[in-house]
Amino acid sequence: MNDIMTRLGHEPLFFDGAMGTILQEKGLAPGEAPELWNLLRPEDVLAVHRAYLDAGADVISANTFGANPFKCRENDMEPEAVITAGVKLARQAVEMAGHGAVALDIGPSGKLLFPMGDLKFEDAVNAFAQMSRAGAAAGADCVLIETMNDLYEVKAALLGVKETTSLPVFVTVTFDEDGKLLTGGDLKAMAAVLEGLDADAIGMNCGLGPKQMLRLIRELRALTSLPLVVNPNAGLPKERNGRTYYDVGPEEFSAYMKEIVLAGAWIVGGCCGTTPEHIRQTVQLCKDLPCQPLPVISSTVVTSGSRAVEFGLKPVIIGERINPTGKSRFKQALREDDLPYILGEGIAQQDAGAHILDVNVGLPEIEERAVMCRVVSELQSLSPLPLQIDTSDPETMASAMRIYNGKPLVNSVTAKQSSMRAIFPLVKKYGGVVIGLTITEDGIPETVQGRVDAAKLIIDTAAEYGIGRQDIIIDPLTMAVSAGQDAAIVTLTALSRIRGELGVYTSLGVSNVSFGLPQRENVTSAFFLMALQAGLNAAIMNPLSPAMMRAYRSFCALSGHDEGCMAYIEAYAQAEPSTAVVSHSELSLRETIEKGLKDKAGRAAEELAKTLTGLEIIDREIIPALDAVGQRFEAKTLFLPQLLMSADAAKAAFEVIKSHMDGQASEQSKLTIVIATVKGDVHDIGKNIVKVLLENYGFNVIDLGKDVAPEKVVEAVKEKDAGLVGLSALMTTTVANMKETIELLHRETPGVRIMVGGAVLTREYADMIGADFYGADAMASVRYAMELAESQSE
Amino acid sequence: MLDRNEILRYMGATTGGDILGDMIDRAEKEVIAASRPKHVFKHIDIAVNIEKGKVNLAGTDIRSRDLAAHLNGCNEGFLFACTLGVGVDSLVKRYGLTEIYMLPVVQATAAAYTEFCADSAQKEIETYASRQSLYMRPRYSPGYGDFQLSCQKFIFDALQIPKNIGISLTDSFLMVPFKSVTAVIGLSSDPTQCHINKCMSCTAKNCPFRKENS
Repeated sequence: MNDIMTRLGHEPLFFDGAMGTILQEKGLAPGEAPELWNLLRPEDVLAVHRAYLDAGADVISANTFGANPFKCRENDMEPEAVITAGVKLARQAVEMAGHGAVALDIGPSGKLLFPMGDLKFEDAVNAFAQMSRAGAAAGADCVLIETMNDLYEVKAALLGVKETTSLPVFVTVTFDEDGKLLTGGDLKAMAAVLEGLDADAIGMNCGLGPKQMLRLIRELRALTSLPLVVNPNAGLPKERNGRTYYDVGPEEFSAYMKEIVLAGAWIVGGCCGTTPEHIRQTVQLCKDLPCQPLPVISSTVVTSGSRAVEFGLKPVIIGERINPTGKSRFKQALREDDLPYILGEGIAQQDAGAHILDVNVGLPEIEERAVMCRVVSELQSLSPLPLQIDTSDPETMASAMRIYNGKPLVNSVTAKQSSMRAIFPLVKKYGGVVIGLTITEDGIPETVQGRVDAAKLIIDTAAEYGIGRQDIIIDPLTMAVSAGQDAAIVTLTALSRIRGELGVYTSLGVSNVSFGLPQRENVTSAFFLMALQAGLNAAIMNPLSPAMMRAYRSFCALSGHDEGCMAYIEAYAQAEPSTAVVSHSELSLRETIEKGLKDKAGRAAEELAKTLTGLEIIDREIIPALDAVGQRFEAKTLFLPQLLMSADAAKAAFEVIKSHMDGQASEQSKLTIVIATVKGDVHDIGKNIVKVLLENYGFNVIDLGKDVAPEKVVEAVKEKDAGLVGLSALMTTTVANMKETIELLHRETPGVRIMVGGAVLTREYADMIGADFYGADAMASVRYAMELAESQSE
Repeated sequence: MLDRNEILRYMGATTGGDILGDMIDRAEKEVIAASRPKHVFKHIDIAVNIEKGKVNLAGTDIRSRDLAAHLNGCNEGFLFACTLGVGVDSLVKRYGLTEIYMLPVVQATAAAYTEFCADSAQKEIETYASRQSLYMRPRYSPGYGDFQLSCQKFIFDALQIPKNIGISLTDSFLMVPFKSVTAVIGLSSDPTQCHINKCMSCTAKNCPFRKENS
């Protein structure tokens, strides 16, 4: 076994410099895979390794950076063959030099992960695991995951490596000059995520020169207790005669590297443009410097893929609305798999000022694990806010924590042994901050001391799992004050003591305090203020409640958390509280829809619902309005945005009708339409617009989403007995899949009609591939569906 | 301030008016705030074989009659890529959920902003061209005419696009983030511009900019 980990921290260690840059000088063509040279030109690769070892490098990176299965497939290479050859060459160089260690080098896959891109998280984990297995088997001493620009991919890589080997893992990511990753993550988020996933050392490489990294490394040193690795380029890339080059020479480079070591880096080397001479001079200048001691950082941080939220500064608002408890509309959305509704609740809370979103989708009749993962994944592609994964099912928790992008807040663990046994290993493995509820084997302690003891038990047990108190937040539980005179006092006293005596941050789900009382907001917001005054660090609450947000913003302004009262002023300077009761709309429902006035449409529908049935409102007001707007769209006197404003207004009216029919479907369901963006295509905007309009006209629309395989379309048509299928494709490359889908539909479900649309399609092409109808725009699809529905009802 | 008429055309509108104008103002602010424009380019040698309908870009042969016609007369040029970043994808997705009527506006505004950023990034290439007394051809992208989308792979490798500016390619050669551009830019010593009838050879038959007789 190599001694690299035992030397770490006692003396500066040195990585090698660029491989690709030097192979290009030896004749590697632009675009050619450097890893291929492990097999074709092994002596050249070996020579580079030997030069770096000769220059004094302690760790050399095998030439395996791009040997992931995706790139190997493009270049007709076998990952195992290329990696084995690469690691063996590095091993051979080490044997010849008589010193050094070999790092399996893992670079990014080149793909963006789902749901933004098309690489599924588990496929990414498997790909990195495959590299890691091959590298370990060939004799690597450690693993370097480098040049990463997406924290989500880093997570996949770290899991892939850690689940297949026990080798030390170093992770370096690529920042721009603002200290941001290409996907938006910053230094604080990066440190929290990588520390949570238990990397052995973290840092940065590529993108910047040593001068720019020096500044960033000073910042990073204050954010993590882990050892730091720094492998800069030989300066920022420059252009000469249209060509890229790097111009920081060995002398200047090594002088900066000295500063970087003094700023706290333990392992340094080089990336693009650096040479053995850069490394030689760096080794000479830095080898006798002392390693700076690791700082103790005990901040409590959760993150998304791009944003970090730290506890203990300003009180944190955790939006509670994504939760079915007591919400029939939300339950309905869960049962109907209405993801847009659920995601909309998240966005609304974000806009209202939430810092973190709680996600709870627990309902007995749905498959919680699958729904939780989908909501987490989709919500993260929409919102930069970190999430709180809220479930009582450990399996759901495990799956959601695994696919989560970032370091999540975990809700929750209790002081019961069974709970701690289930949850702590997950927090240890995936990283996370866990909310500890003061519930013991005997239930909720009634006394302050009982709750403090429960908190202490949670903290002590977590320590046995290697989880520090910075990753625990204690919730001393809000009880209904209507059920016990001193319920609120016990909670608040416990809160202060836990914060003061145990040194952990606290949270509360505040609304429970007013359970059973009238006008609950009065009591809830007062309790919220008391809790904030008692030192509450986070509240699970409804950010859409004006009373709660008034209390929050006022508290921040009064307690020094709102400089110059800017946040308070921004929230309230414009909107003078209106005392006048909003009078009922003077416009008819039909007019509000034609003008696209969503709020007024809702109110007008509310008025009409007092005297008319749902169907009457639809037939007399909504459909004529939509028809009028549709005609103006077709005459080009108004355009798509206005058409959609009217659709939105109509939708608001439909929601009112729906609520009056008490959850019963109000659609006339004249025709069921399955719509999808075809396989391979991830542009779904056109399809989504068509869906909105079709729904407006009362069609029962089954939306299969994007990148949908032909078999899935057929399956849905059969299962839902659909009369019409709408397919969308945007690229010349995916139109072929549209043809394939149509052929399969013709074979398997001969009766169904098919309409198609998309930028590259034409009527001629639609005819050629066997579609029944070509929709030139969204309204045309609606017209066709209506004709079809009428002809079928005759 | 982005070109209002261009944005209107992108969303298929012929006239603006106050409502659309206000929406565009709002979309412009949000699109610019959500964007982190990045670009990368690289000088390459170009050899055109017009008879065989082939172009050699930095040592790699590409079969495309339209690209050959477009680059005819060029011995050098640039590979070019530019993106607004993933933030705009999130913004677009978000509007699909919350205010769907803003979706075409945000889409069109983001498309116009992509063009704007690509044009600005390209200024460095213009400077190089004028120093060398060369003339610059318009950007020509995979997917135009018979320049196959699969050629994205070549451009992606040559510019190391995922690493440098964070665009990735799906299995069907779609770029993510969506608001991204890749192109070949030819430089020639003669001032002749675009040789081909660009619109009529393009596969985007429903393109609002398509000119039937240009």
